[in-house]
Amino acid sequence: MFQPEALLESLHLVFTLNTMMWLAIGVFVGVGLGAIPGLTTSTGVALMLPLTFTLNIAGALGLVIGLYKGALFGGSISAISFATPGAPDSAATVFDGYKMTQKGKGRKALLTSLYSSVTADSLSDVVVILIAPAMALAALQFGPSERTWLMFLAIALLGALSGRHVAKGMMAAAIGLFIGTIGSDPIAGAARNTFGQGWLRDGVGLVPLIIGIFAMSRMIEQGIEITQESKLGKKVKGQMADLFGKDQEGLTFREYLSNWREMGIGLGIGTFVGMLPGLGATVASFLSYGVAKRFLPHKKIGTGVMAGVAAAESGNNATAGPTLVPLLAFGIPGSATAALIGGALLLQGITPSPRMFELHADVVYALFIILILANVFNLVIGRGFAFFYAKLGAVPKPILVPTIMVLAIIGSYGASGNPYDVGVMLFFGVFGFAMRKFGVPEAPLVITFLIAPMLEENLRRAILISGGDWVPGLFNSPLSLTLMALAVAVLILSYRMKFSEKLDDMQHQEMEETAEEDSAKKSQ
Amino acid sequence: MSAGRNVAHWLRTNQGVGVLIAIAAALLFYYLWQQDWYHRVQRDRFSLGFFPGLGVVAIFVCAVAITVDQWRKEVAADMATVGWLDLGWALLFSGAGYILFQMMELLGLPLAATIFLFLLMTLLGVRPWYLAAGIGVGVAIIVFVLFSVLGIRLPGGFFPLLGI
Repeated sequence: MFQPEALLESLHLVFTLNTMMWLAIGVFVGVGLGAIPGLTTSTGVALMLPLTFTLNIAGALGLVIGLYKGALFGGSISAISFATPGAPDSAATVFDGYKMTQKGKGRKALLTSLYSSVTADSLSDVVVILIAPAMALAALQFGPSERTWLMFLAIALLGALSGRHVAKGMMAAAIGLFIGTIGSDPIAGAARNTFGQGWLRDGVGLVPLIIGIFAMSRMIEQGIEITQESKLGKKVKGQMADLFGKDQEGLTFREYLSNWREMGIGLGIGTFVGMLPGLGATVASFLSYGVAKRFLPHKKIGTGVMAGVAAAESGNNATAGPTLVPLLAFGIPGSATAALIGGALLLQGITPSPRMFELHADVVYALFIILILANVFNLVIGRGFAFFYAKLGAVPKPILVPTIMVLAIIGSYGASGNPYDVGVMLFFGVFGFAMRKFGVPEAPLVITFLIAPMLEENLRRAILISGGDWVPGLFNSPLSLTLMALAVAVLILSYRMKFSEKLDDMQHQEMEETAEEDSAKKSQ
Repeated sequence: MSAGRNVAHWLRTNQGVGVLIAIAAALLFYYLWQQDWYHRVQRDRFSLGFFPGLGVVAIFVCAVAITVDQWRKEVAADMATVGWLDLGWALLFSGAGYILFQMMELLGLPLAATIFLFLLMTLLGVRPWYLAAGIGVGVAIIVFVLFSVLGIRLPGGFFPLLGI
């Protein structure tokens, strides 16, 4: 399966000034977006997606992956600087990171975060490079029925693990499936489900849907929050003054190495959690923080030590590469960000699937190289501009929200020059806002929307092969039966064992424990 | 608690919202069922409406599950505080976005975006007003130059009324 010519081709694609520039821009913007509280990784990638139209494939991947990895690290800057995680992924970093800042060790905390993020991220990328091709090779043996059940299993996992409430996750997936059917029948091409609107014949555009759900809805939410309260910008400014002074101590190599156990825990948990559809970086970071705290009591995690920052940040960043494994191996994005990266590939005319390793091996190798290179850029840019980004995190939301709204409108129009796309984006902005208020996760919607045509095609093909009989069509091999049983088991178990609720409670428990320890210390 | 308050509280629970979504899904399915295209059979014997219908039925089933499962009496954290005013704000922001787009086609991106940014920043509390205006002009120009350089299609152009 390894194609040396494709590897050479990919080196030519990646090691150009153009790709390096976009990778650097991606990381630079990503760390900044991550550092700004309220702007999540998916918001950033969604806003940048229209830009990828104008780039070649390597440039587009560089921009999107750089932004993703940069934003994952960037979240820790505001978490450490002023106890406000840039994104939920960095919430666990606040526990020790901010305490270190209060002790005058903010610089050390930030460097610990950067080095542990980059270490875990790089090593997990190696795991991806080793695992994804093997899994894709296995996936190539799948027929339409196996592929159909695999997608059902992914949807079941997404619904079960995306949030506290299984039915809400599944409902988001069902909405995604419905929206994915708007437009034309994928096999015959006949118009359907267009509500009598001719412009919907081409279906709902990926870019306006993504920008609406991930960017506009969040800006609407934050705009409303500002009208109700918040003078966050002012508070932040006050706390920033004495941070990163010249007298602050840095991080020695010995200190960095002393966190190897925490980084190992983060790497293991992050890599595993990243590969599972639905869980994501937030869960990985809390899990690895919790595990490190329990298994390494002598490190006194939770009292403002490097080990806590290293565990949380390595767990968080180790999900970055592995989240792409289901996308590359099966064509099924495992997370919202993987869906966005899949979207960027689709916009470049490349359908993510196991056949990518045969048809576009150069692109796959380029993606692998970019995954690794992005860590180097993250290290250099994060190290050089941390202070600048910490300041950026203090940009007041009343300036940020209208600016992002303008970018969302231009981005949704610029993707295809279709004025209706702006309306679609605004509609999904309000829709996404309503979803979030009701606690319905967005990721299953976007992911199911992306795989809906593939699911329909495979299911219909499976039935067609069996001459129109459903049972032999869908249950024609032990593997399809196993996958079906797994999908059913995931749904039943998630309902009975309340798995997501337990994960959610674990995060809250961690926060409460830390708060209790703090108050106990204060009373002493 | 009065009956009115009881109903208002129930509407915020998972069960209340689930019932509303189930009704909406049922109405949507009825609408789809009434369409001619829904029953048109394709060469592979699937009707054109099978998959859209499957999506709506799945939404309905999940909504029903929300109304009867163990979390049915819970109120989602953000639902507890949400009010009609929030929906009003959401529609206002969205409407403002639509007006901005229309204005861009008429006045061009820099001018329309400056007006939009100035008004929204002022509404959200940026003071003094000339700071909002200054930031508005700056951001609009940066966005225009950046997107133009990148070759991304922009609504309107620089100043369409002057043909630029």
